Order: sequence, then structure tokens, then C-alpha cells
Amino acid sequence: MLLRPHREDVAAILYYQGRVMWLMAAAGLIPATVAMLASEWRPLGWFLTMSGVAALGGAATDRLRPASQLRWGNGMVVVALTWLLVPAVSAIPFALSGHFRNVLDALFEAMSGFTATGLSVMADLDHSPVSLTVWRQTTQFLGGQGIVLAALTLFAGGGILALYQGEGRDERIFPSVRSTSRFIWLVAAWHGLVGIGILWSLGVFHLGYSPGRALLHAFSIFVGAFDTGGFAPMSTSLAYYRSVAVELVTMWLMLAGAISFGVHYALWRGPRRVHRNLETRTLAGSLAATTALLLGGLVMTGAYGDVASLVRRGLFQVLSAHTSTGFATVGTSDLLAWGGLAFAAIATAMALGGMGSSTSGGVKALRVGLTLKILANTVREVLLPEHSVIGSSFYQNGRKELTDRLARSVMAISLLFVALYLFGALIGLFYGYPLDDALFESVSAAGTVGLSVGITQPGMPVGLETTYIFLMWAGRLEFIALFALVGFVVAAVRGR
Amino acid sequence: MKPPSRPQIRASDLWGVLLHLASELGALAALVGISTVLAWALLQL
Repeated sequence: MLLRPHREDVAAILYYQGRVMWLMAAAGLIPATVAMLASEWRPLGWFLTMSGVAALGGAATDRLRPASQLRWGNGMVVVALTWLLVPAVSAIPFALSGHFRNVLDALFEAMSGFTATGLSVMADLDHSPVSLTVWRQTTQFLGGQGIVLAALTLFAGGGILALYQGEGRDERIFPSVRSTSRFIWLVAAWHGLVGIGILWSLGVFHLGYSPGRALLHAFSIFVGAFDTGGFAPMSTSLAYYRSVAVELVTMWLMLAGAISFGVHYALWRGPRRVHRNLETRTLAGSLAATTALLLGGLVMTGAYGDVASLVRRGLFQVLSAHTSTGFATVGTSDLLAWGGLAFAAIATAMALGGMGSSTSGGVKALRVGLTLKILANTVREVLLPEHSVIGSSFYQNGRKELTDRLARSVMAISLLFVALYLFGALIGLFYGYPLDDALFESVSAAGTVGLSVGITQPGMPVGLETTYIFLMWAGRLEFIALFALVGFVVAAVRGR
Repeated sequence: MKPPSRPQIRASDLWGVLLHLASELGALAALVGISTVLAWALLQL
């Protein structure tokens, strides 16, 4: 029997939603400050409007402070709603800017930013106001670091653990959620300090930019790479810079962004057997395999005749896809000309994704590794004599048992990702795109990657655009929070 | 035993930061190295 949610449940959900809205109101002051510094007065109005709307939402729910802790299920509903409401509010400056055809395009861009995807439908990106570029990039940072996690850091209080688990960062490195949040911000901060510092220096001394312009580009590349977002400040993405040094620094940041915070902790404290983890080994293996496939494909099509060009273009692209970043150093037409094998290698890398407890998307390395282990066990069951007892374990920060319950959960989420990829591809086919293009773009959206074969563009069909918005949302939430929201709505309608 | 309530990592832990950076750059260098050897081998085929 379904139990209809109590009024207190709804109030608690609205209250925490309101906390996030207050955070959004504060976040809007970042681009607003940049707009003032750059004397961009019209954009200043867009950001103040957004902050005002968010503050109204926050103020309206202030009185709903719950007496008890937030239940886990309700925390999931908050996460699912956050990833709908926050993009909706942050789309306000996009919608007012005139760089988007309509409100749906603005919402698409905001969802792409907050899910750290990087697909873009923005028109005339190269002539965007500086403050709008900063906001577009900031959405990736807020989404990547976790809008919920940010809310936890700033408004930490009762019931925060439920919110935290829904975020997907369920790795307990430190004894408290608050200290874990601090560590996550610390890792981002020092990567930002070093990454932006190097990129800024390259911009000023290597590319000849003014200090201000170099800072804008360095910040943009850092958040795009470390939060595995993929929004670039220029329409030609990373190809704009034509610089091996910039590409190498970006590759480091993309790799760092796809590493779980548990591994970051281990690397900081000294190597602690992370190389033995199933997750690390699976990621290393799948990176090696997809890189080999990609290089093989490029050699077969003769796209590049020398080792340096092959490695420079191929490795960057496969790393961008595997970490679910979506930066490109080759144009869409070049990507299409790379041929079937290289194309499939990138699509596979996008579908697999990076580590859990990171900002990358896709199925994720630990699930891929466990799925392979489960398949191997199934084969062993067939080959071994009847009634044989097969025990299975894996190493992930210590030896762990692969229970039936864990196996079911891993297979369910992996299969749901495959179903999501296929669903998006089917809708693409419905709109007349060839299978390989439709599948590539669908995997890119659902895996929150952002590489495109050109389907995503201003003027794309409304139905397809809505589908991709759903794919990004569902792929980011990894289904659990989504199911909690659906369950909550069903219980509210049909429960007793 | 009661676990420590604060993280044992601090922003001023420069040695930890350097170790962290070196590990990540090492992983990237290994990836570039292996890819280069692989690309060279594939071009010889």
C-alpha cells in the first residue's frame, strides 16, 4: 500500500529547495560583479533578475524549517527537484540575453551546464558578454561540485546526510559529511589555483593575451575540464588555441576531474593501494582499450600520417570522451571523417565514463568492472559442475564480497544506462538522423559528455531537444533520485 | 575509539599537494607514453 506523503514531508522538501534557491541567489552575484567590473549594464540586469527570483523562492520557504531530520527518500526527491529547478532559474539570464532562440534553448544550455555535460545551443558564442560567459562556465562548477554539496557546506544543519547520499558522492572519506565536503572543496581549490595559474601564464606569455582575457580563458578551461563540463568560451572549443601546452594542461585537469575523491584523498596522503582497486584497474583498462581502438581506427582511415598528430588529436579526444568532459580539438566534420572504428571508440569511451564520486558521467568504472565480473561468474557457473558453490569478491579499498544484492543493483543501473542511450538514439532516428549519429549524440547527452556530431544546434527539433534535456537530467542523477521523485508523485496521487 | 572529528588534511599540507600533483601527472605521462608507442607501432604495420 502506498502511503501518501505527509504535509511535513512536502514542507521539508520545499524548505531544502529554498536553501538551494538562496545559494542560487548568492551565485548570481558572481556574474553580476563581473558585469559591473566590465561595465556590462544590461547583463547586470539579467543576473540581478535571476538572483531576485531565486531569493524570492528562498524567502517563501524560510518558515517551513522542519523539526526533524530529512528522511533519505525525501532527500532524493530534493536532489531530483534541485536539478530541475536550479537549471530553470539559472536559464533566466540566458533567456534574456538574446543569444538563444527561445526559452527551451536557454533551459537546455542551463541543464547542460548544471549536469556538467557541455552540449550547447548558444548562438554567436564568440561575441557573448564576458559576464554571460562567466555565468555559463560557473553553472558547470556549481553543478559539478554539486549544488547540493554547496548547500551542505553553507547551510549545514540537520538531515544533511540524506541529501549527501543522493548526490552520488557516497564515499565516506572522513567521519562527517561536513569534513568530506571541506575536502572536496579543498581539492577543487588547489587544482584551480595551480590549473588557472598555469593556463593564465600560458595565455599571457605563450598566446599573447591581455592579463584579463587570459584569466577569463584560464578560468573557463579550468571549470570546463576539472568539473568535466566541456563548455568552452569559444565556439571552436579547445581547437581555438592551437597549443599543445594548453591541451596537455587540460588533459591533466580532465583526468583529475574524472578521479574519485577517495582516490584524490589517497594520492594526497600518499599512494594507498589505489592501483589495486577494481575501479582504477577498470578505468585504466578501458582507457587503454578505447585509445588503442581509436588510434587503430585513425591509422586505418589515414586521417593523420605521423605519430605526433595521431597522439595529439586521438588521445585528447578519447580522454575528453572517457572523462565525460566534451572538449574538442577537432571540428565536427573532422570527427565525422574519422571513420567507423574511431567513432565507435569515442562513443564507447563516452558510454563508460570515469570514476564514481567524481563529476564524470556514464555508467562509471566500478559498475563496468563489476558488470564484467558478474558476467565472468555467470560463464563460470555454466562451465563448472552442477551444485558448485561460486564465491566472488573484488578489491575496492579492501577486499569486498560481491553479493547477489550488489550484483543486482549494479546490473540494474548499468542496464538502465544502456536503455537510456538507446531511448535517445531511437528519438534521434525518429527525427531522421542516421543510427550512428543518433546513438553518438544520445550517449553524449545521457553520459553528460558534450561531444557533438552536429545534431545539437540552435534550431534543433523541440521534441529532440526536450529528450536530450531529459537524458542529461536522468544520466546525472543516475536514476535513483529520479525514481524517488516519480515514487513521491505517484504516492501523492494514489497513496492513502 | 572515537574517530577524529576533523579531516587530517590541511590546505597547508604542501608535501601532500606535491605528491598528489606528481601522481596525476605521472598517470598522464604514462598514458601519453603508451599512446605514442602504440601509435608508432600501428603506423609501422
